[in-house]
Amino acid sequence: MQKVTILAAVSVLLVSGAAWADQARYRLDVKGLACPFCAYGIEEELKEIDGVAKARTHVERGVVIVTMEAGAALKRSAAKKAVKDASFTFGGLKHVKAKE
Amino acid sequence: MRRTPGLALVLAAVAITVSPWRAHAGAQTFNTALPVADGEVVLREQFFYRSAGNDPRPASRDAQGWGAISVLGYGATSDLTLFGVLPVARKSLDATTPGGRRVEQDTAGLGDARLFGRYTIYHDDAPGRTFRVAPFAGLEVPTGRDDDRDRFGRLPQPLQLGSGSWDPFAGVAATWQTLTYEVDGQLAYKVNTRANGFEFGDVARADASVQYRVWPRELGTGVPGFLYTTLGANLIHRQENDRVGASDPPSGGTQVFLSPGLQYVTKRWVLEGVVQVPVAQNLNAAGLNDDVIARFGFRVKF
Repeated sequence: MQKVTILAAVSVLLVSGAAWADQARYRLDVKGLACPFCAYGIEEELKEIDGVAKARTHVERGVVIVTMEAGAALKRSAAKKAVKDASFTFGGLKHVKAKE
Repeated sequence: MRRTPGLALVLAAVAITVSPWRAHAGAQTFNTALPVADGEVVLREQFFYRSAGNDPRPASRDAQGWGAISVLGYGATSDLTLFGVLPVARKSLDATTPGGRRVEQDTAGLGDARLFGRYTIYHDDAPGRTFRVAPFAGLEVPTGRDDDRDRFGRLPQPLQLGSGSWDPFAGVAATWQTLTYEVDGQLAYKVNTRANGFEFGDVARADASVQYRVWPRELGTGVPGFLYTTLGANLIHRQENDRVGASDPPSGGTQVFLSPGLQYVTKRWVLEGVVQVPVAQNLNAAGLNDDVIARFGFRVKF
């Protein structure tokens, strides 16, 4: 019984790890972002995009790190539109591998 | 108690010289050109207290007002933001009549609402900074009571909560913002129209404000809260009021305020406070000088 429990726990960890590995992450450069109160709008616009799991702003660098749901990808056109709808200027989109 | 029309006229003559106390929405005291995202809603609540006194004239007038101004902003598009402003206030005026009696008149309730739109016509964005220009235009609508009465009769028009008139206004706001500081400026003009045989003088204003981030000194990851010290300046010029069929003491004039304050800004909410101190007042004849105006409040995004 103890062996079954351990095997089950290891399986869950392996599956979770695989899911994380499938979550694409992007670095979105946003020009014009210069205060905390402005960050809320861009994050909400990004979360409206299908497949976006999380959007985290780093205001000093002027970037938003976007994490997608497993298997989803972020289209450049969708990211540009989200930045424009938030009333900022698109500065670039890059697929990043390492956790930022 | 029997009404005394003569006393009412005297009080009206005294009260007419009090500057009209209107709610002025703003950065803390005026509009900025900062963005509101498409579909975003910003709620702002500002509580204020205003005092005017130290009257050297025999009437020895003391006027006070306090209340709350609610502002709702909606991002109709990424460039167009629509605003609604609704004040609730209590206003009071104490004065000594020529007969030596000290009397108080007061009223409380909704004031006149403002509806306006602001459109970003220019923005220049770079990493960590932005410069924006946004004209705005709207209408002050007569939602406040303009026929309030007390035992002396109808309250004088400057003491009424509402003007009874539909008053258009327009202006332009500009904002330069970096991660460390922000500079805002505004020019605005309001045309006051006639109602109840009375017309407030038009109002022209020029405002400027500087904010400097004092904490945190170094920015790390994420979105930390910013603490700003702020310093603003407000130049307000009012033309003379005009009353049909009556000759009132000269009103209107020019005031300059310096407005130091503090503002704490997070991703979703803001806490702020400012004190407006009059540094120059050139009010016509019998105008009542402001002592101080204090404002504090919060903003929240949805």
